[in-house]
Amino acid sequence: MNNQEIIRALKEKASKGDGKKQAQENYKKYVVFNLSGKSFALPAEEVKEISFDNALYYIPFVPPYVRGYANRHGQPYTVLDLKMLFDNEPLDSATLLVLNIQNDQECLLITDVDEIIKVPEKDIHTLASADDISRYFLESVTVKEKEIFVLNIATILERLERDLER
Amino acid sequence: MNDKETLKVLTLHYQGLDFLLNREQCSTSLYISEVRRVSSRHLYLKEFLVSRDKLILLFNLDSFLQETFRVKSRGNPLLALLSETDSFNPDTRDFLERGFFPYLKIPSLHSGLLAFRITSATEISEVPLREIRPQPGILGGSLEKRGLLGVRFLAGGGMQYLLDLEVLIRGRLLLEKEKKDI
Repeated sequence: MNNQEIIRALKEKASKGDGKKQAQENYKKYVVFNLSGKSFALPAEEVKEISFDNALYYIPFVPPYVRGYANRHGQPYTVLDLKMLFDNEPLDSATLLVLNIQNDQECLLITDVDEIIKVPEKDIHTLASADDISRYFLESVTVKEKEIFVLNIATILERLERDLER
Repeated sequence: MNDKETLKVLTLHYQGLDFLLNREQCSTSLYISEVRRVSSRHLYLKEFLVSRDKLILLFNLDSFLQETFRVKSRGNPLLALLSETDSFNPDTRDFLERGFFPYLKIPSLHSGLLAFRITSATEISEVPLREIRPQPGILGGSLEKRGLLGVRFLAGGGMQYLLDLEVLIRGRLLLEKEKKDI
């Protein structure tokens, strides 16, 4: 192998490596969780931890989908009940998905975590509808031929802010 | 904030939640002996505490806490907590002196004191300031305006709210005339 061939071989290898990296970038990681029989997802980077058997402490003057405070390492975390927000029915659970949000401490009351998945970009779909409920979702992902909606935490927090101002 | 700094508080115990009141807002407490009931549209203001020839407004803080925080009592509401209005900040004093007392039209009203009916399950204690946590993000500001300054989690389970008596008055929370959906 002469030097020219070596350089060509190295470049080829490097470009294959780039391709591998490119393929990795085309996947997105999600936490799929269950809310009373319905599956939803959150981008994995928005989830800090999963916590079980939590006591909830009542908070007055807040909308009914704020179910209380939970004690996470001595800090109060606001517990949001999406079943209450979407279906107007409280979720009976003590499992929390602790969210990774800057300048706030929020968690979601959930039934359970189903799985953590990597979804190829081709299986991530933007939402066409702009009705009242779909504004709470960023996109949808196809997992095992099932369509799962990905929550848009920012719009849920905007709703909370509006409700608190009323 | 010094790590060893403490806050002198009155702890009002209820089932599932406790409430902390800053001692600086409370001048004394006493067993309620003589009260005069009045017909009033205010939910938590239907009595005066009789002190010699003066009447002191007696807010039912016990009922307010039970209804607002959905807690049950662990004692009997037989104690009155007295607060000197001089210890309040100018905004609160101004509200009381110009916006509230004159409308009551009671000549024998003691305008220098307010009384609050509280549970007998009350104790005086000191709490390390570092254990009281501010409330988070979006909720924090909104609740602070309603007199909920912070929370404290207890090692054995349970939570305590630090309340600001002044804000409960100035924000008219203790002057509600009808039940709100809370």
